[in-house]
Amino acid sequence: MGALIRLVLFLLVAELVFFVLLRLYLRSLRLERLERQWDARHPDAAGDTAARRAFVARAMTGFERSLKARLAWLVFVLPTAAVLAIVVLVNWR
Amino acid sequence: MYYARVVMGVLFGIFVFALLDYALPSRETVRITNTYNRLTAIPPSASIFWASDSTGTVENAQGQRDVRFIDTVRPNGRVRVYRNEDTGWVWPPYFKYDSANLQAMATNLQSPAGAPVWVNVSAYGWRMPWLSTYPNMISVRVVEGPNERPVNWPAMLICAVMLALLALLWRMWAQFRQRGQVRLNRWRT
Repeated sequence: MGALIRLVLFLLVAELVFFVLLRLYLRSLRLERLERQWDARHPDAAGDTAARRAFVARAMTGFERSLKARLAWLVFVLPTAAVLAIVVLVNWR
Repeated sequence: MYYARVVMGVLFGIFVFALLDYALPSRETVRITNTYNRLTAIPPSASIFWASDSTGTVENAQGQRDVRFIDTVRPNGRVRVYRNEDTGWVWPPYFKYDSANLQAMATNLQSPAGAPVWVNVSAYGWRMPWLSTYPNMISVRVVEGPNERPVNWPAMLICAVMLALLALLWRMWAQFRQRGQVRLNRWRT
């Protein structure tokens, strides 16, 4: 029982760390794309300007509800599902 | 410094390869000749090649453990001895706790050389006679003949998933470095 609790805790910590990193990564990709978009649309106001920062901040408001941000929650589902699949394949075949 | 880095890199590569070679499942077509359990002394130097203490293993006062073994013969006539221990919820992550069932199945599939029953076994680990280590059997199933070698898809799948994860981490690291540079420049100006 102690070993099982240790496994669950370890898995949760690993998933949490990876989840945070993945969210940061997805955010970063999106920020970069928005900045490029702004630069392409406003060649005269390209670069790191206050207007671009305002545009990026506005465009990022719905990020939490986007499909990619939601799919990141799979980080908690897939490893657990893999553990269950291994348990079934190894012990009930 | 350069040579030290190269040596460290090569040693790390060898370590990763050895770890995967040890922990990933391998498959082999064999004939089971005997199954038994034996009181086995587990020296501290080789204890990492045996089941962890917290998997329900019991040791007597002399530090000996009753371990299930399965003797097999490969089609080329060379023998291969497996142990059959639970891994429980500890490393390596096979979550195996049906070793009693596996032992019963292996005993049922015993066969003499004259009327062989060929089976394909999945196992992980190394047989090192000088350290008395044995691969741990995970599963057994009957196959048509000694020449049938099923594809080791579990190991392939695990390798593919790990490669994909490595590629993702690589991309994430590159992105963080690049964006970190952007942020640093913004902060400087």
